[in-house]
Amino acid sequence: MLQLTDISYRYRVDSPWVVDGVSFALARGEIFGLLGPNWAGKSTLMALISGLRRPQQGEIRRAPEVEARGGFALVPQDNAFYPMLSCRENLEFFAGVLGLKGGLLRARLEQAVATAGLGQVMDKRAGECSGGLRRRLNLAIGLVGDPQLLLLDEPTTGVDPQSRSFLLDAVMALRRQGKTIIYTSHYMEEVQRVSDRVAIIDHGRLLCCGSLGELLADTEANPKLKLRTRRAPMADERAVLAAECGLEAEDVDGWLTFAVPAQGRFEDVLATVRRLGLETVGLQAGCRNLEDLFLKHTDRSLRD
Amino acid sequence: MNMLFAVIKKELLAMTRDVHGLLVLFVMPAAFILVMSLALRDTFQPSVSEKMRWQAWDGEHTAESAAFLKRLPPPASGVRIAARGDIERALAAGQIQAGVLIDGGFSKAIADENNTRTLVTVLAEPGTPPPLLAAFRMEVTKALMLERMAVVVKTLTEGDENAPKLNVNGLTNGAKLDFAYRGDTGVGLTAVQQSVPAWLVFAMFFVVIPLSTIFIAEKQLGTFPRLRSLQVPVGVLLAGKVVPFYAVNLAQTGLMIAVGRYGVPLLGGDALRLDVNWLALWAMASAVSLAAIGFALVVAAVARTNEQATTVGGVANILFGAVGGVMVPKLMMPVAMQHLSWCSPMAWGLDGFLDVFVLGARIGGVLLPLGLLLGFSALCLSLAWWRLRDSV
Repeated sequence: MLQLTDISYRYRVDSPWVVDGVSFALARGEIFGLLGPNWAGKSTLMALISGLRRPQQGEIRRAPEVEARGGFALVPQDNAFYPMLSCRENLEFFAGVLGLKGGLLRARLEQAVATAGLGQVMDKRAGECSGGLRRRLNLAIGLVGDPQLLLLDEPTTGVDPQSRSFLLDAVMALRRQGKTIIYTSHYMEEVQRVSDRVAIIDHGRLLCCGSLGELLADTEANPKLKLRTRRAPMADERAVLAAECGLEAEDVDGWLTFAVPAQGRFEDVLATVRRLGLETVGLQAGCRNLEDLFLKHTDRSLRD
Repeated sequence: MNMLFAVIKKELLAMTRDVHGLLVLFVMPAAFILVMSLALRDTFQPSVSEKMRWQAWDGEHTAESAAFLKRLPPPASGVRIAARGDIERALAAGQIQAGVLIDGGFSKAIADENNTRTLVTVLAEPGTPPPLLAAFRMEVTKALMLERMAVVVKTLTEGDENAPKLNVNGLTNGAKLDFAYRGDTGVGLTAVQQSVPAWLVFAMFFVVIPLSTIFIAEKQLGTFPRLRSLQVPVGVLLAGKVVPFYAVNLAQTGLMIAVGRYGVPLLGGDALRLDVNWLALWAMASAVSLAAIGFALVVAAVARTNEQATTVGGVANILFGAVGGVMVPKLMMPVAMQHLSWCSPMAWGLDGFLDVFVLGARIGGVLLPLGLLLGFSALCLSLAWWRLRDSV
């Protein structure tokens, strides 16, 4: 559906590469999660894929159905529509720009409106809609052309949990319809929930790419054990926990995080904790997740 | 075509949703026309005398005609008049403000007490301050009377038997002077005749504010890159702006003419004279509109924020207006400033409109301002396209 081969881009000749040798391929009907901290190069990569910018190195190949007019759609992270127009006028405008008219236009509008759940607010001015409705309108506009490839750039930013859940369901429904989706978000649990494959990008380079199972099975990304004790461990106890159980961190809520070696067992950690006379009151076992993987690859330092 | 139609329809819808912004484009110039037409009315009445740039064409070359010309203030230097047509050409080029035409038979006619034919014709440039023209006209009349007196006295003293009898009426009766403006409408420059085109041009250029605001909002909202990602060409997006704002500019033209024609007289001012060539008026309005929209699109393409666009656009408009003769009529500026005014596209528009409104110019008479305005528009639209073509 889409093939990127060694794509590079920079804004000026004397500036660093913003996208640096990125390669990946998308199969029809998959959701590809693209993760990266701020300024990692995600938006530039989206602009390259959507044709707004041309790569200075490498090649982007799109399937014929993607190259066709309306074959792909960018749903930007901004609410890219006209707030002074109603939802219906916005949708009709973007459909008109794609050359839709008559029965086809009506059918596409109905489909997009149903997917985004906008039925009750079609005649409301877009600028007067709630944050969740605006996000849904933003998505609906991307759907009016019935694209085969959708680029969703942080589609759930700033919405309430209900709207987020609705949008994620809508994304998965689109996959069932055979759409191919590139999904970027800062919300790891979202990406983990919807994506078939995930890539992490930072400083313009693709750091890892694969299915969630492959990435989380990475031996360097040790499984974690988190537990909370009734009282905080003393300094000597903390030293024992670090030496024998791999204590990594202690957060402000009192959760102790242990990096359990591949050959280690959670029971060994729990036994040591009991031996030190610490009473366990909370436990999260095997909590290796996408966020851990993300922080491992992109480090914890602030980016803004 | 469908794409362009969709963009135009969206622009029209968006404009109607900003009624206040749209009203400013109509109310502001209408108010200026009413106020300035009344405020400047006395300025255009003859009351002062200034130095006049003039030249003469002497079709007779006799002692009498030479003596008559000698009685006038010094003519403009550096303007060669070899033929009668040179006078009109010098007037059209702005080299002189008045031309004095002496036809053959002047010497004979000036000595004839019962002469009924015109001795001298003065052609004036309509943009010349009326007080100056009035003063010059008096100078010409005085010189004619003096020359006639000199001829009569001379024939009396020479004892010519056919000499006319001297009486008071006879001194002035034969001094026929014809006075006309260059062009054929006979419409003089009045305050309303100056204010309507001046503030109309200003108002048309004022579209820089709403147009650039809408465009920058589109860039900031992300609709511009979204449309570009849908493979909508920059040219279509620009054309989508041009068409609705062109309609707004034409509506402005109609309203400002109505204000000058019917509104100003209600408040005691002169009515706008409309002995115009409507095709030339439409052509001028269209050229000014395209220049204004082109300028607005360049500002919108270059500016990154609304604040930048409104500041740059607003200040540029005021400068164009001040230099171009909108705020202070060109005829009241020193000659050097009048030359400088050609740097302002508003001056091109205003000069063209004055030619249409005052001189009754046809298309052929406004080719220069039309060309300048359309060239400026093409340059601006090209710059905007070039700036936006890789913009995301």
